Amino acid sequence: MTVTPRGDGPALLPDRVTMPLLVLVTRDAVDEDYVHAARRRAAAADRPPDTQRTPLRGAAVVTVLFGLLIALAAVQTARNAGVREASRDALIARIDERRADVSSLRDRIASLKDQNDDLQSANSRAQGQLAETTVQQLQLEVGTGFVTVHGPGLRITVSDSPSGSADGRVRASDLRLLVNGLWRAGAEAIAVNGRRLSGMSAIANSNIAIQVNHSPLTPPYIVSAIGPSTMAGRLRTTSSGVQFQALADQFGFVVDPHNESELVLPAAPDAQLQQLRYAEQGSGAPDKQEELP
Amino acid sequence: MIAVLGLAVGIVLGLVLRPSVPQAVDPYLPIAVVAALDAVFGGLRAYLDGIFDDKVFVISFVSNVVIASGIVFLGDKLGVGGQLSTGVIVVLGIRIFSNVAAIRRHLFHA
Repeated sequence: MTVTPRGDGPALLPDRVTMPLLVLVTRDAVDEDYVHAARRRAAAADRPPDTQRTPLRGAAVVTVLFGLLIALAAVQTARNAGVREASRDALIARIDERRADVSSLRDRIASLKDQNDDLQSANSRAQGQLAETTVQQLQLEVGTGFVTVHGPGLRITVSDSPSGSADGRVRASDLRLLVNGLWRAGAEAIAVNGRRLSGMSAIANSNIAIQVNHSPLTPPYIVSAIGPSTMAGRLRTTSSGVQFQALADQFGFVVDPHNESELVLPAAPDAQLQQLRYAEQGSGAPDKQEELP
Repeated sequence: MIAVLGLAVGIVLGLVLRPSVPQAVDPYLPIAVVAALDAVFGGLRAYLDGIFDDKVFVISFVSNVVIASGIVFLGDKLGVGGQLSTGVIVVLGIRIFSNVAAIRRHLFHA
């Protein structure tokens, strides 16, 4: 097989192959069949031309068909236009609806943001209150004996008079004076022989023993109080402290105050604190006025 | 003359009868019209060239319509119906324009 020289190529190949597509389309715009048919007719020109009558019959049918086609297409397009318009309207309606939705949601976002801001400020206010209340609670817990506390304070050991006389015994009233004096002197928490004093505690006599929190104590009585270092000095200036000192001098109690840098006081027993009651604010007029004597 | 008459009769027939087109054929109607238009202009040009042939015209009309619709149908089945119909319309449009240009040369000798 020989390679055809490039110069001869176009001569050997038909135009249809070598020609650019657009040029081909433009040049062969009219069907070649017409040319072929014309050539055939020219070749058979000697035959009698009986096609003079028939040619237009097919053309007429085809043109009727063509007109029908155009009319059909036009009618169909017009018919579809209604549907298309309707769907377009529906789409526009949906768009409007969604836009309204979006704007209402935006409004809602704004109002929720406002609400959020309000709630946040309320929250921060409440949190401040909570912190304040927590501090207060801690202070109250220390004072009322709900929690174990530790810190610097004063330890006072009180013993019966060494003379052994009945008057020389320490009584509950004496200890009460001392404890009240310590409270007045600024004590934050007090325990007697390791029994924490709460708001419900009582120092009472039972026979000859002293009871604190309903359990008897044995001498010597160790009163531990957590509070400022000036407590010992201030105790001497309170009326209860002065009375206790006077009684101690009178009956010969052995009183040994001692400043401690670290004292640990236990919490008061739970059973006692769970019975705590408190006054409630009355609502409306009382049913029955308390009769005054 | 007979062609114009046939065209008018066909249009009137279509408008009066308004035959309902099956849904399946509906998308191929426009492309069929364009293909028919090409055949009609080709025939007109051949007529003006003096080589018009009745049989060729009928065959070219029918085959144009069938092939154009067929190509678009095939394209629809392959998922490229839009692109194929664009291609068909471009080619047919070029043919129509060049035929119309030839007709113009015949009619106005320009």
